[in-house]
Amino acid sequence: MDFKLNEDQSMIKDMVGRVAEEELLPLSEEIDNTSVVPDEIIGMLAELNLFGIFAPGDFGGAELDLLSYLLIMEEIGSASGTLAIIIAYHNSLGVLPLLKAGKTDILSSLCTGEKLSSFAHLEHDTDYNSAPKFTMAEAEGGSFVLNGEKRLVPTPPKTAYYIITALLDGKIALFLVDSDAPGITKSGVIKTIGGKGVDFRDIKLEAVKAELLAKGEEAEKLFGLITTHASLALASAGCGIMRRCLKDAVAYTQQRVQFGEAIENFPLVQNHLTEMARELETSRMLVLKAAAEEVKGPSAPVSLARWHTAVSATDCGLRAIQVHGGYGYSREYPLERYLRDIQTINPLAGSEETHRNIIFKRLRQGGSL
Amino acid sequence: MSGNVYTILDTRDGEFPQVNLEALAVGRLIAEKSGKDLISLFFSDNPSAHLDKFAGRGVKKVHLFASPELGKFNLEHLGKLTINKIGQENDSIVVLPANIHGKELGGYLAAGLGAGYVTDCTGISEEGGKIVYKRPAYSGKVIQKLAASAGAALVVGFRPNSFPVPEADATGAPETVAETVSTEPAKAVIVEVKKPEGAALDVTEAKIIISGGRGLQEGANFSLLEELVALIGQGATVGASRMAVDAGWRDHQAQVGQTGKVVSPELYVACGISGAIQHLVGMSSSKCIVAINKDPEANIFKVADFGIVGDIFQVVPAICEEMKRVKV
Amino acid sequence: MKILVLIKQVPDTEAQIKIDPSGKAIDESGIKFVLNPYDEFGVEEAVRIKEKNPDSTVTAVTIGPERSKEAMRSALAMGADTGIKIWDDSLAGADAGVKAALLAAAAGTLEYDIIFCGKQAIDDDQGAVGGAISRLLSVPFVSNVVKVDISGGKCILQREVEGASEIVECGMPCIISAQKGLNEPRYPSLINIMKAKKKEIKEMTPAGLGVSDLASKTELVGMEPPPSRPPGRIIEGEPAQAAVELVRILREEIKVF
Ligand SMILES: Cc1cc2nc3c(=O)[nH]c(=O)nc-3n(C[C@H](O)[C@H](O)[C@H](O)COP(=O)(O)OP(=O)(O)OC[C@H]3O[C@@H](n4cnc5c(N)ncnc54)[C@H](O)[C@@H]3O)c2cc1C
Repeated sequence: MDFKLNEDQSMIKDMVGRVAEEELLPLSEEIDNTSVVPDEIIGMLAELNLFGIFAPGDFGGAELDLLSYLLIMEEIGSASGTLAIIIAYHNSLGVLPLLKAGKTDILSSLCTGEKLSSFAHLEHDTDYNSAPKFTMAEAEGGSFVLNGEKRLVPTPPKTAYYIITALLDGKIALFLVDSDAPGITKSGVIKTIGGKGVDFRDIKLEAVKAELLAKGEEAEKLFGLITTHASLALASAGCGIMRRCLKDAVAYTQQRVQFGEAIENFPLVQNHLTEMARELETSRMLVLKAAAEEVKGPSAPVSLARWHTAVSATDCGLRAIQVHGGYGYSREYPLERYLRDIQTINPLAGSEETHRNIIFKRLRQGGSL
Repeated sequence: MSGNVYTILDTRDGEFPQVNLEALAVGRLIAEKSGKDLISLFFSDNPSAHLDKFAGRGVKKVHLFASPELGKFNLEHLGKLTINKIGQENDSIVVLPANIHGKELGGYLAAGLGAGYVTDCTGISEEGGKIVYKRPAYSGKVIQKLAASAGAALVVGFRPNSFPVPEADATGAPETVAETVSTEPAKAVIVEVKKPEGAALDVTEAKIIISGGRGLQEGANFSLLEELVALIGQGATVGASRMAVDAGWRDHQAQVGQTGKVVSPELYVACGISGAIQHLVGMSSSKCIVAINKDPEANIFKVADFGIVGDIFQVVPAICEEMKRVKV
Repeated sequence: MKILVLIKQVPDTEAQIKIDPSGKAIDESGIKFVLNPYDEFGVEEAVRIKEKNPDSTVTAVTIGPERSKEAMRSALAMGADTGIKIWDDSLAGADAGVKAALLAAAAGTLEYDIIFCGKQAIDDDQGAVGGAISRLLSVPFVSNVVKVDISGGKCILQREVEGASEIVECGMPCIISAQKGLNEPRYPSLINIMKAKKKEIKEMTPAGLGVSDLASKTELVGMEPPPSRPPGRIIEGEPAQAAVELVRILREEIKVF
């Protein structure tokens, strides 16, 4: 077991970390306040190849390994939950299914960030552990049409394509849809607790022309693969937010004086800080361990990592608010934003329920994690 | 042969700048500690106009290099003329004025004289029979103590405002020697000098700096600080944090800090500046620091001698009012 | 155009610097090292010149131990074509004069039109190298430059000095030290970081460069932490009161005006 990053990985982590710290973090408050991600930011992320992280060079991607991708997601998460969601959706749920399905003609425009892609699966009463129920696909003259409704679909500016799940012959299938295709109606931006600027919308599909990416067993596998991939990416982003919470908390407790002493000297405060460190480090370890095995689809290690990160991040966010005393609740400090972004990221690509189920199944089968 | 202490001075726009007097003071200090003579090489288009400046400063001899082309700084001319004059004297010490030109010259002279080089010296002492030069390194996080290696000559630059400049004393005027100047055409020459409109005093030359940061909210609000500077009068100028410079509120000439200028004025007033480490390294050697910030936890208060916790938009105008009151 | 960029790996600006028990060096453990920010301006400028003049080459040259390859790789990722790294354990603690001699010797083996360096490295904060190699190579040097224009085989440079900008016309080859304001250095893209790995870093030693005199002309007597400032005083009261009190203190106690 080797916990040391190789030279590429550490350089990539440093570079993205710098961009996050110097360029993204200063803008994240504004993104949260205005719910708008400025075009220049998307442009900058594109130039750095953050929209083609693991795709092959032929398509303008950087061909990085999974671990590098996760390191990047942690750095982005440490600056902005919103940008982390946009990048994870695009790479794991947009580029990856297209790559796997061999739908390569539009990949270059996606990897270069000229266009963005997103993923639409959720419906009323569905989660990531189940096939869609209300979105139906029908073959129509060599092509397909979709009818139905999808909920909470990230639609940041420049989103040109959706990967959409639908039922085809009673089974899950994955389709590619042009985001402006006739028959698509998007709701206004749904007010969410966090992830402001991701622009979550409900979308209605009425006889929308779609291109089939995968069906049958193949679709099931692909769905499992991409949601698992996204789960790890989002878990890493969660680690990034936790890291930010801890960093802010340590800095604050060193300078905040009460009863003539920096509050970092108080056992209660130290308790919070060390708990936060535990939460962060265990989450990170579980994510890296899950990523060390080949990621093929839902697995107990991935679910454990994702679930543990979600629970830890929430707790970590709350502790950060607590050590900041009254300021923690104030919008003048970013702590409450961290917590809101954590709450937004946590259920994406798989709820806590889903993950517990996967872990429990494994236990029942007598497997170890 | 035992060397001397030399100061290498020139004029700028026909003026004899304050850093020259400081260089003479530093030179004198070293001369006294080392028992050497203090000698000046003085380059100018009109050196004789400034001879009075050398009186009462412990200078034994001034070599005058007069030529029209020496009216503007030129590394090649100053460098070659100095190296020819001093030659490879053992253990001589060459003191340069604390400005950009002096710094540019320093490395050149050190290489040409086969000397060591100490820049940004802030203190000089004697330890174990050696003259030891203290200088901040690692952005001021460490003080290095350097000495010339045995028998080696040394080029010394210092931080502006780090050494007191005593009034001229009764030691009188030095001997002057007119030098013949012969130069080859220089490969790099100044073709134009641009001074910003209503040129503000540079932060590195100011005795008092009123600095503004992101707390000022917009560029136009710097007028508050300008008003205070005007009320203080000579020697005062406006500085800025990187946030203020990056926002386009101030020219980067005014930026104080790691990637801006390092200043040590007698008074530094930080208005709406949080006190990030990169800012602190640029101003923490100021003699007196005043911080005005509405956040009582702001890091800037850690280095401030005096702090006011409050809104700059109330406090600074109040200071201006009080300045007006006490001035009349 | 053939461009050399002198670069150095230095502790990150945020790094906490502790003095080694020897008192003669800093404790490097736990320190993150980065490409000197002023050198970044130099690399960026060189790469921009190359982008405008496609048949140009940019070679980054550094003196430093094994770890400094990371800084070299940053320069390569930003767009430098090749790297030269000079080292030998006897160089630990060598002063700027020795390093300038090595850099001049290395430059002497190469062709160049422009040599960029940073205004200073933020570890020793000396800024000695540009001037020294200028003398050693007999090549003009302009420091603290915030603007570079190349036309008709000449460089028009803007040097920032106290309270003014000097426009300097300079023949080539020349040495230019970069000051903040020269440009906004790019962040290397993921693809360029990966490409940089394949670029060559040539390793050289002082002996290989024919430099035998490695004796520093300065001696590091010791290092000490900076003097700490006595705790400050918060002036209480309403803005108007506090302002009056502050002006009084500054006039009567500190006597600055
Ligand atoms: C490699 C590198 C180099 C850098 N170099 C430099 C450098 O040379 N110089 C530099 O300054 N920075 C530099 N920085 C940036 C530095 O880290 C800080 O970001 C910057 O100094 C912050 O500027 P600020 O204090 O103006 O802004 P902020 O940190 O945003 O602080 C604004 C302050 O204003 C206060 N405030 C707001 N409104 C009011 C009001 N109405 N009344 C009173 N107070 C108010 C706030 O409480 C806050 O403390 C560098 C950073 C890096 C990474």
